[in-house]
Amino acid sequence: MSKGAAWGGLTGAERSAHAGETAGQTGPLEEFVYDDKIVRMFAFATVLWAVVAFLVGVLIALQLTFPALNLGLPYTSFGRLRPLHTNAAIFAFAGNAIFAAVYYSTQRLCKTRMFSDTLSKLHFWGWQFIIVCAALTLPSGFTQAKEYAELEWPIDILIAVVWVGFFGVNFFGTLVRRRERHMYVALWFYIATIVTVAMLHVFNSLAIPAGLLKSYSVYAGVQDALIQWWYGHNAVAFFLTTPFLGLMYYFLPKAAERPVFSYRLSIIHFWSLVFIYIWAGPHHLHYTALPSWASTLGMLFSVMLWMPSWGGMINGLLTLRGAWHKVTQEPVLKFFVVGVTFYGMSTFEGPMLSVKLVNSLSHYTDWTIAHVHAGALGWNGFMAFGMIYWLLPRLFQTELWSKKLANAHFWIGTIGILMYILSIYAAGITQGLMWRAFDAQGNLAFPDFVETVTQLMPFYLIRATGGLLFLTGGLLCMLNFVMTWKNRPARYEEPVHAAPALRPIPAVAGLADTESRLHANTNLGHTGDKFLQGTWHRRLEGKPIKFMIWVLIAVAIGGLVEAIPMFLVRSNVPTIESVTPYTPLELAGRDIYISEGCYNCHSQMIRPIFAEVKRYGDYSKPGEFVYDHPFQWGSRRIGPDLAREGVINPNSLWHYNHFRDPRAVNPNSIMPSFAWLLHDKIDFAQIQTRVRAMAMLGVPYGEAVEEGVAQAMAEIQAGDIALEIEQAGGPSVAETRDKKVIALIAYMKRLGTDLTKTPAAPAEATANAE
Amino acid sequence: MAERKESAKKDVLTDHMYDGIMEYDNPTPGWWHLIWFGTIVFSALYILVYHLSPMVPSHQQTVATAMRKEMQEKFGEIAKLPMGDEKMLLLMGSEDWLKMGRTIFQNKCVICHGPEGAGFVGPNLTDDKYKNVRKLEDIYTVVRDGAGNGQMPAQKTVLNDSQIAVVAAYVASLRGQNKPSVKELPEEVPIDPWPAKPAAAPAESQGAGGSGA
Repeated sequence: MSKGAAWGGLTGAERSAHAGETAGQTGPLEEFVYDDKIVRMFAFATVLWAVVAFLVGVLIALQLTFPALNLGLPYTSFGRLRPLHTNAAIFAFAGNAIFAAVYYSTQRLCKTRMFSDTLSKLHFWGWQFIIVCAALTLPSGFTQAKEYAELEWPIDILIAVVWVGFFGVNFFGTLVRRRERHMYVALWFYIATIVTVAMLHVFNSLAIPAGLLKSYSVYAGVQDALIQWWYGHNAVAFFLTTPFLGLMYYFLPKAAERPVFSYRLSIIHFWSLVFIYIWAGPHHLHYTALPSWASTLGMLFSVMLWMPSWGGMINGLLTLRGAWHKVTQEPVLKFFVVGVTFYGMSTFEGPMLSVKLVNSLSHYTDWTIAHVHAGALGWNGFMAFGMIYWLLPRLFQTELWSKKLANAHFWIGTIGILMYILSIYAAGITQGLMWRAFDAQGNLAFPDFVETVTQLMPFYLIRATGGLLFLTGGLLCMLNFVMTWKNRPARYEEPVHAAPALRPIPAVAGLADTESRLHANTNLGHTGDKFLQGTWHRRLEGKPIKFMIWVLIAVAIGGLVEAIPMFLVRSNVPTIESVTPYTPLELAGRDIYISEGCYNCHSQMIRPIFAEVKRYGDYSKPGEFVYDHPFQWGSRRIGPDLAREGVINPNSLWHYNHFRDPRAVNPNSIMPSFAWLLHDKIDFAQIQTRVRAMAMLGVPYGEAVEEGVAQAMAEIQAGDIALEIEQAGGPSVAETRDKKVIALIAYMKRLGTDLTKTPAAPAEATANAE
Repeated sequence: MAERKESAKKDVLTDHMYDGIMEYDNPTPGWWHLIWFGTIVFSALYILVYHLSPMVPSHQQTVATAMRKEMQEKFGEIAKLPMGDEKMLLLMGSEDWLKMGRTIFQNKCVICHGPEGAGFVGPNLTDDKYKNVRKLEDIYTVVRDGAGNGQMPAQKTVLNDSQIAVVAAYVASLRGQNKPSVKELPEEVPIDPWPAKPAAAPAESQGAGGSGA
């Protein structure tokens, strides 16, 4: 180990050369003032949206035990509110926390004010506007139905503009104008965040609009799943991990007043983290129709990611050496210690869950939800709150209103997290085991799905209580925030700082090239040793744009290696002759399925696992999803899988009754009623536009794209289903034939039937022609 | 050894200083490297074993094998028997087969016929009136092929032939419990009682299903 001792830490001779260089580069002293107003704004938004996100979370947690809490309204049903909860937690709460951290620390690490106050303001208000748009559109049922990327295309464009155009330009502009030669590790993580999130967002959101607030993903089925989870997993990586590591690297040593444990570890774990993380997405798709080579890559890169992730934890916790006595007194450090510890736990659990065998039990259960919340509440939540408590006295230039309250927040929050995650770990493992349990005769021990749900109710109550405690903590923070703000001085002091301008370093005056310390006689050995000494990295830290390009290369590789074969090699998605596009009415039904957020509780993916095939039927094949823009495989089974619903239960009247009142059909069901679908009318005229949009994506709709044809086909099929309901003793054709529920039933009856299609009824035959 | 000596030494600071934050020049921990390289070796071995060698069957192959094995072990003795009153009565006379039939019924049929078989969207199966069934064997046919233009869905793509026979026998066994109907369906008509049980059947019914454990 000793041979690497000079990593960046310079030897005597170099040190003096460096000092001379520093002296030589000194430009005239320049004065500047930090912009803390923008930090105050982002900090307040953080706490505000935290409360909103937690509140919605508690509401939907309670809906699982008390379905009536959806109030019978479409806007407050689980399927629509769950995306609101996740989006609010990730993009509103964590997002604003990131921005507060970036705006506060970047100015100080670069010894300069932000590049442009106008851009700062545009960024702030643009982002809040996006959040408000999300809060309006998601409960109204406008969604792309891709997890954490639900927002419709106009909002997606807005996000790209605000992220790249305002935030990105402002941040990189600041880097370019910095008065500190080298960039500190926090800034590396910010760079990775901005570059990668932009890339993920743009490629995952590509869609063909079919109306102002409706679009279809350009990808279908297997490919859409791959791209979505490339995005979804790396939203966790580059929205909830890298910026929070940046936050940690600035605020934790600041609060502890201790040097960071290891600069070398920072370098290795930064680059390995950004390079490896991007590959891990397919571990969300184990045992699905995704080809197994991709799923294996996802698993193995997750396993290899374990230590790079822990590098951050080690650097965080070991920085506290010599400061542990402060942890007992300072709530800020308490939040940080628990936050970093949860980071360590989650980043061990993640690789573990990505192992296929473990995943076969955990996937689709609450185990995943527990894992996510250990990260979100423990790591993101506590790091953000720690930062807020550290910032409050500095931003408002007065003492924190109540340290006691901050301590109370810490304890209530910690207990809340533990109650939350422990109870649904138990729920997840219980349900996973019940799904795969067989009795002595070799039959499923719990053949009725709802049995496995009823079992979870006590756990769900404990979980909701945990959530309520965490929410209480958020409210205490809000109170402390407002009271501290009230005690602010009449005028904020705006200290003027001074630092010499940065001059470009002439090549000769730069860091001296390192000499190899080896006595080897191979060039390779010498080159390797020079590389290990790391001066090249020190040089790179002085070049933000070059640094950014290297990050971009590092994060692009994994995605390209996985996506290119998936799109180009045919054998990854073998064609199935009998698979045909959805009929226009089924497509309309699918749009309702998407709009109501059904994918939040129902999967459409039967895994090649014996117990699963016994329960739901033949496992899903890649070729079955080629017309699914977007895919709807889901990630959690709060209700049963629906991949073969059309085979298992094609009874129209049953579905009609079930959508009206699930508990009239199945007393233990926790599905909300969708009674409004029985009254709302299908917009038949709109169907034509939607079919055309799908045809633009290459779905072979044949003559159905011609004016009026799709509409006529839909009306005929709706009439048939309405007649079926009437004949089975349900309401009359006249009452049901133009209602949304009919389209949704058409979709239900179609699901999974392509593989076993018998010569279809005439109406369907025309629809499926071509 | 060298490692221990070094960690015993005092931490050395780099000359970095950012807004008051300093950095130590500590080496990366040895155990950290070891585990990391361990995961990389594991990954290489995993690919070797699971993808580059025929040692481990794919998930799909594993399921197919399990299904085939289940067929042979569970239904071997009844699979070859021709469908007819005799087979139905044989199944109806065996506790084990009825229990298996009940499990299938719970999984596939209860949403329309109710957990007790007393009907809901579908007809009551516990009384003497039937909608699509006129004789014992019809239950098997209706389960297999469906009826009423899809109102009763065909199960032949979901269940294998023996499973259909077993669940049909369970349904037939429900007759006579005469549970009150949740809903009266007008199309239902009373039919003749099932044929009488043959005198000696029990020998067959012993091992049924038990071998599937």
